[in-house]
Amino acid sequence: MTAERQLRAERTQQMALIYTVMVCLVSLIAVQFLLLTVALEGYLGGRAGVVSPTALVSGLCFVAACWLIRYILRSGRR
Amino acid sequence: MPEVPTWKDHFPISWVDDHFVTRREFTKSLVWVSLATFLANAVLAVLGRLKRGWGNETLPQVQVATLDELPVGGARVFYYPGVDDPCLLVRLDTDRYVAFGQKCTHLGCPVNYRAAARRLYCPCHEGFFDVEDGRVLAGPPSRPLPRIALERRGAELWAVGKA
Repeated sequence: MTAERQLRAERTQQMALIYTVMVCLVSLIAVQFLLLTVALEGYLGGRAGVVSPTALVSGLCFVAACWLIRYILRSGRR
Repeated sequence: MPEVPTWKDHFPISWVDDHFVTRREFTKSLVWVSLATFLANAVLAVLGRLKRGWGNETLPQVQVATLDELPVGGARVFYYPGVDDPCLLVRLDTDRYVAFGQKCTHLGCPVNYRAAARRLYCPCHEGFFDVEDGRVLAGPPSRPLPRIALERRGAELWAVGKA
């Protein structure tokens, strides 16, 4: 494989990676927004018991987002 | 070849290049959005916990009416536990009284009592609540009205907490 072809293949791989991570992140953020609306509804409606679990799950989503972004940072360094 | 104007030489800024965001940068910024959403949720959790802490405090006891003040089927507004918390006292029978928070659990409009139908009614979005226990009968509200605990003391009615 020529160097140019290899470069092009690597670039295609990187783009696929970025798009996959982007889709996953957008999905995670959509879930977080949903959780935020549930938390807000619970807080304003006097059902504070639902707020803590939603915060916990939202935190897990954030951790997952950080885990995903590692791939982007790693490929950027290369 | 067209001549480049002098001002372009002096201010060589391209809006398109300046505002260009790569996919990589955009993806990184999504993580910040995720963090902001999590923080907003965490703030709500902390506030909710504090609010629950306040809820454990004993509520004041307030005289809301005398027994013969209201006719059977009548209703009156009082404020409990604070001056910003309107409530509705309803006399169902000669010796049966109930009280609920007056703010509709949908969007906070004040509810009224309809004696003929024995229902509490929210005129904003046609929400109906049962006057016996405050549960939702119809309309967009999803939660019952908060009930106020009443106590009879001689010829007076007192609000003593939330039921």
